[in-house]
Amino acid sequence: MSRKQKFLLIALVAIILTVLGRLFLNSPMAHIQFAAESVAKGVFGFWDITNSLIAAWLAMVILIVLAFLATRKMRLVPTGLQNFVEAVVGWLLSVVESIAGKENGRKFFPLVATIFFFIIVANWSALLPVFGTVGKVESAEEFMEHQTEAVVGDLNTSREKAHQPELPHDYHAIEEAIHAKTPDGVAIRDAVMREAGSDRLVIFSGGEDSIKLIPIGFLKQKEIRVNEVWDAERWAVKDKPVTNDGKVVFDPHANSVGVLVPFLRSMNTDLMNPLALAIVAMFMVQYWGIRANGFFSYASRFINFKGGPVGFVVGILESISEVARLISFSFRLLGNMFAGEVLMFSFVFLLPVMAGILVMPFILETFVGFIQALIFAALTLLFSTLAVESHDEGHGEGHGEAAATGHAAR
Amino acid sequence: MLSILAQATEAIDLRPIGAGLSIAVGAIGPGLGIGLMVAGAMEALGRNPEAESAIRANLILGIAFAEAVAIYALIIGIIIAFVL
Repeated sequence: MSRKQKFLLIALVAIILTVLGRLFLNSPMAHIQFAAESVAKGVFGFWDITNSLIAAWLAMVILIVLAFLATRKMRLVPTGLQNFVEAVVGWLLSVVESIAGKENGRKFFPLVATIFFFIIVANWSALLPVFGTVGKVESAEEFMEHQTEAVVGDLNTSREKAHQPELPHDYHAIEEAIHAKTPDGVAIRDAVMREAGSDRLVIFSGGEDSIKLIPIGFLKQKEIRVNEVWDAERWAVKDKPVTNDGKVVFDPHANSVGVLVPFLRSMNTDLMNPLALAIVAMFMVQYWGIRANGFFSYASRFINFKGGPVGFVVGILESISEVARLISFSFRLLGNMFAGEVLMFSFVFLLPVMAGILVMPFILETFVGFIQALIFAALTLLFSTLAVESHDEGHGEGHGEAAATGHAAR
Repeated sequence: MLSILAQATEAIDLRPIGAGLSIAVGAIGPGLGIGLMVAGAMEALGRNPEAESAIRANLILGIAFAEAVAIYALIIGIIIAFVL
């Protein structure tokens, strides 16, 4: 058959497979949580190991092993892995020197290169199939406990405190309401599953105060608002009698599944890691500025009495913008990575059969990961260069020259 | 009979609307900004094709700054949708 006919046939088969997959192989929407999930709580008594931390460790291990292997038997004319690593480092060094000049470039290079390699290895390693899918399943009770702890505060929380009845989350009342039935005598979970025509129920969190019951089938969900319902004595909405519009309770001991806590989650999707990198970068920028200009000369940028009242306000704005850089660095990296992760999760759960369409966000993620690493490193370098140059030169001259001659290595 | 399963809340939940509006409106400005930037870069490239690498490097840097503003709006939307 002709090319056009072949193409139409393939398209038709793809559409049929997609429709069938949507009808029969459907799955509920993924549970997406902004804060990183703890894999191990209370290590050494105070430390929660989150899955983003484990991913960061993985990135560190990859980098250390790479560095070790590349410098093991070093030759003057490099081959193999040493050649590749030297090429990358050489390219990065040329970019850094073109922006910052030879002398400053060498001074800034360790930090900038570390930031670049760390972020890019972390972003690209998150594209492995293991991330976000392999983990342990928490039952609904455990999950409720975690949610309650998050509300009460985990500094002094112990298991005993979490079960006290005066919790704002009415955890105790929920626990009692678990075993309730509808006025007709039907267990509520059975009613939910029967309505959806399914025999399996998945429980997800809907946020701080609600739970989603999702029967596996046609992507139906029931969202239950937790803190509006529970009056343990009357099994009713507070101050309202039980009617046919009563709330739904759930039974976690039913044939239901809890929440999947993945063991690995991309390092930069948790706010903590980009924030840590931004703090380190900003601290080093200030340090280099003070070191190059002297403390009072550098501080006169921010507390400026010489230029009169206008100069003073400009100094205040400068200091505000320094702090804002912290926020912008961390949120730029966090936002790009988190949005990419949510995009890929949504694709995975949206089209169970047409998995080939995952190629698009995968390539996007690769590109975005690289660009974000480069941007973070380049901006750190830029701010270091600006901080180091003295007042005599003036901002326009030194920087303009560097920018004009720079970037030629690309 | 199955109406007992309906979710009976008093207040309308406006959070999804807030999240959607936040990113929808928040992406207008950066979208326009990035378009203007790339337009300027294209024109500069047309005038002086030899400066391609310099233009490209500065363009990427400028786009990252503008995109960061859209990311701020996205973060607020994500916080509204998933945390609040």
